[in-house]
Amino acid sequence: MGLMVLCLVFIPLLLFVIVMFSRGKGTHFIIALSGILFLVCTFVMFLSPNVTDINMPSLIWKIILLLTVVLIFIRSIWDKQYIISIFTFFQTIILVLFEILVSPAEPERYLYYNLRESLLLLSGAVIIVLFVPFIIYCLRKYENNANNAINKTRRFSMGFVLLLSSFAGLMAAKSMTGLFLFWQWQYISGYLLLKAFRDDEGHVSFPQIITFIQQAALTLFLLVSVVSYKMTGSLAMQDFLPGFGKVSELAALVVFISAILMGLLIPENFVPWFDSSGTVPIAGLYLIIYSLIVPYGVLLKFRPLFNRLYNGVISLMILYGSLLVFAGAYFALVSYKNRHSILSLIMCIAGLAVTTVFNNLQSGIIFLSGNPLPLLLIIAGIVLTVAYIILWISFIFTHTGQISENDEDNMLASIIPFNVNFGLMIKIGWVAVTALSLGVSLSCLK
Amino acid sequence: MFKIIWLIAIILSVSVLYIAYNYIKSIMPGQSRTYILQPVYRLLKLFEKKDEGNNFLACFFSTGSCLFSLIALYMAVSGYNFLFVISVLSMMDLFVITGAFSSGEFSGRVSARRGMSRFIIWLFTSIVSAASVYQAAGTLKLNEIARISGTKVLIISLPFTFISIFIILLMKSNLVYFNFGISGNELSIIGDALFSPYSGWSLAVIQLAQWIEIGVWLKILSNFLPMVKTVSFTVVSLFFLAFLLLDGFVSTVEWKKAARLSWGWAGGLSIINFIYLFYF
Repeated sequence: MGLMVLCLVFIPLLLFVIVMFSRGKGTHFIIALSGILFLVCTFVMFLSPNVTDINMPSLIWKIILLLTVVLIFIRSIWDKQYIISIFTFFQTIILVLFEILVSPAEPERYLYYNLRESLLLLSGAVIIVLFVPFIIYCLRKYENNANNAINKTRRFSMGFVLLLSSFAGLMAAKSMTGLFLFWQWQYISGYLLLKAFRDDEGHVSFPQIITFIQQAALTLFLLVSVVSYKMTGSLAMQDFLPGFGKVSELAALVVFISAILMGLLIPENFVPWFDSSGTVPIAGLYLIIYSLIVPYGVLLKFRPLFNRLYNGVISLMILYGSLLVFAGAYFALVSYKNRHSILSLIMCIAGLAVTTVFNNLQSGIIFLSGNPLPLLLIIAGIVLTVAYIILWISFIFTHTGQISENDEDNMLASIIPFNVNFGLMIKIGWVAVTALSLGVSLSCLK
Repeated sequence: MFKIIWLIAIILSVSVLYIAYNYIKSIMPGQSRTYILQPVYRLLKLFEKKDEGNNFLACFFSTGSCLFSLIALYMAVSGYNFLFVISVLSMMDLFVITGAFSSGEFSGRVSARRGMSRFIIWLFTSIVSAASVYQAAGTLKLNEIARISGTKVLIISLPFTFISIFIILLMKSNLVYFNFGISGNELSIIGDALFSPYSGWSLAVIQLAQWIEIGVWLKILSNFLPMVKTVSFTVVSLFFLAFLLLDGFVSTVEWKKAARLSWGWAGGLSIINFIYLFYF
């Protein structure tokens, strides 16, 4: 395991601990420092990937994994979120039984970046550093106007540094348990970021159901890792080329759904829900990292497994990706004067990234050629994106003082001459595709 | 040199088509006699007029759109990738629509919205058509498509795509049932929308850009016919002239109906051809 890889994961974790006990002092400095250090480490690792190898016993990872799950379990009981407690309790049981009874060997290189992953990490690090000045500026402004600001900023900083750590880990993880661990860190990071600004609104703006579904997906993901070990004798994704026999389709579906749910890639107008911070541009950064870069990087790791799948499942996954493209573009266009439109556009690009993961798989699927619908949806998404860009540019040049709000609100209705409830269609679309994918996967079990 | 000749010939051919249309219309019974070069004269007169109001941005946007239409024409003549040409034409439309929005006037915004509606339809149709062409010909380069059309009779595989692209041409020219009412021909306030943001020489430049754009679509369509380039371009131009004349006999429809018809014919036919190629 490279020294730089460990630095990328553990330096932010160390800063996390420092922030936790700092009582809110120097949080801005730590945000800036962590962002810059992250970029420097990524850059050094990119230039010389194998400077020093450090053998870290897999037992340490197992202990960290168990501690993380137990921590979430305790915190969920503290917060009276009992559904999450149930899921994390099951996860703890699975982990303890799996580790004691089976004691699986983790891959020799638990964390390792190939060239593509390094590039993804580097691009993410550059984006993070670009965001840092805006975040600090907005945080300073926020602190002057808010009550209990120091405590909130501290939580925010903890969430931020853990975001860096989990991002680095997710990109580097070579085993399913590794992915599970860093997804849990991502969950904690999201929890802290949401909690930092939650009280101002006076209500919970982020729907709890999303967190429940995320934990449910992670529980299934952990079960799949047990199955994968039983079937292939390995937890490393690169060893999944033979497939998992009859359960391959179902396992691949769980992996796909986990990546989608952890990336908040549900094609509905959910994106603004995450934007509870309002004053701080963390939602954009969070979505670029976890909705765009991470799902793409993680799904690419599973290409050996996807190669063995029944074509129908892959077609449906491609269809889901194209639905994301269309939905993202549609919601961006609907709220083109709103900051949320940019967040929706990230989902649109993420859909394209998810779709391209299945490009030229050995099973005979050529890009988007399973059936004509995905390509048509992607084309419609591209057209709506271009329309959005035109409207957005026009908005800059429009003499806004002379335009009534009511006039502009019906923009979409005035340019599409049909009374179509696209929002409902998108909802039905993603439910139908998910149900179909599950049906096809289950039918493969026969 | 050959490309430059083609470029100039296409620009001139569109004006010739409009002159021919004007002449044929004037000799029809019941029509008032007009000067034979009336369409060109009208354009030249516009150049002489000063811009109304103080909408400086209109000049910038009209010049930009004209520039992009010229680039698109050059690319179409040189046989570039179909999607590249579409992208440049999108940029042209972006300038026209943004310019209309920038006026800040009611009729300008109405015109921009209709332009936007038309834009969504033609862009969707073009990209689906491009997908069909790629499926059938294996390339999107216009010169390659023209070469393959000569040997494989490409239009047999792409009949609906050809029709849908022709309907884009009709939409862009505001003809028959695909008239969005932003040509400035109508007498009502709503129909007069395009005149509000653009007037004087900026309107002249916009109209020139639209003529060039018509030339681009004629050139694109001519690539699908299994004939010599000049002959196929002439055939497509004559088709277009026929529809220009037909427009006089067709009643004007409300713009939303025109948009629905455009979706149905242009969008629908391109999708049908794409699905047909996909499965058969």
